Amino acid sequence: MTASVPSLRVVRRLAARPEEVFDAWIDAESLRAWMCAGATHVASAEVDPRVGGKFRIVMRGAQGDVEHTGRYREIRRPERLVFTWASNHTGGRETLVTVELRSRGADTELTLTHEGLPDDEACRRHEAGWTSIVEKLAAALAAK
Amino acid sequence: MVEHSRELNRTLVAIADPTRRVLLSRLALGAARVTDLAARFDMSLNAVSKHLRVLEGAGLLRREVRGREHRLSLEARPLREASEWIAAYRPFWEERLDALDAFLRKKRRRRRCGRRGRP
Repeated sequence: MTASVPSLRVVRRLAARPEEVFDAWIDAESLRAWMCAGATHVASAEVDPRVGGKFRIVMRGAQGDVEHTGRYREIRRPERLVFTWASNHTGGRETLVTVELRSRGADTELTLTHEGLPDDEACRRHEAGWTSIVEKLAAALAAK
Repeated sequence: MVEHSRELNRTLVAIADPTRRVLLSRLALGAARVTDLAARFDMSLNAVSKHLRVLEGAGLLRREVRGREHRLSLEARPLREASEWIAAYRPFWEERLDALDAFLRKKRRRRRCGRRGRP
């Protein structure tokens, strides 16, 4: 076995040009229309599609509201979009989503990769978090 | 549940670092000595040991001490668990992409009604 990062990949052919598909991912109105079809719907979608910009999508379902937040890491219209993704479903962890688009005639082939990988920033925060917990513990023990 | 989540966090932090992923990939091929790993990846013994401690803390390594020699091997179970966690996200994205497909088709139909002959 190889020690790869846990990830999942979904490939889908879509009946639209890459530009249209790309815009559907970064336009708040479009996101509201498709991000939560079915049993749930999007209560709100706010996006700031710039590198470093944040987004926040609240999905309302039978089990209440689920908030999804993240930050854009790479915006290369129309072929590549990378953003972090965190919600209750990820246990509040920051994960990484990469959307790649390739033109296929009149269609687009979309490849979505979701990695259970905290990004560098989240990783540093984790490490800082652990360090401070360990330091507090050490101080508490020393005071005894 | 909380304990499980904490373990998963440690696994994810451990494998977030590219050097540690390379070390894990090497160990996936078989056990190795710390000195071998340091030589193979052109790192100081100190730097390798630091990375190995993080991997060990995440339960990804087994260490066998024979005299002065430390032999390390991969413990893959936590990696499997991390893979299972992310795999649970698949139905979510499958459903979202179905909805995106429907959204784009509706848009395309609407546009076709308006004008024809677009390449």
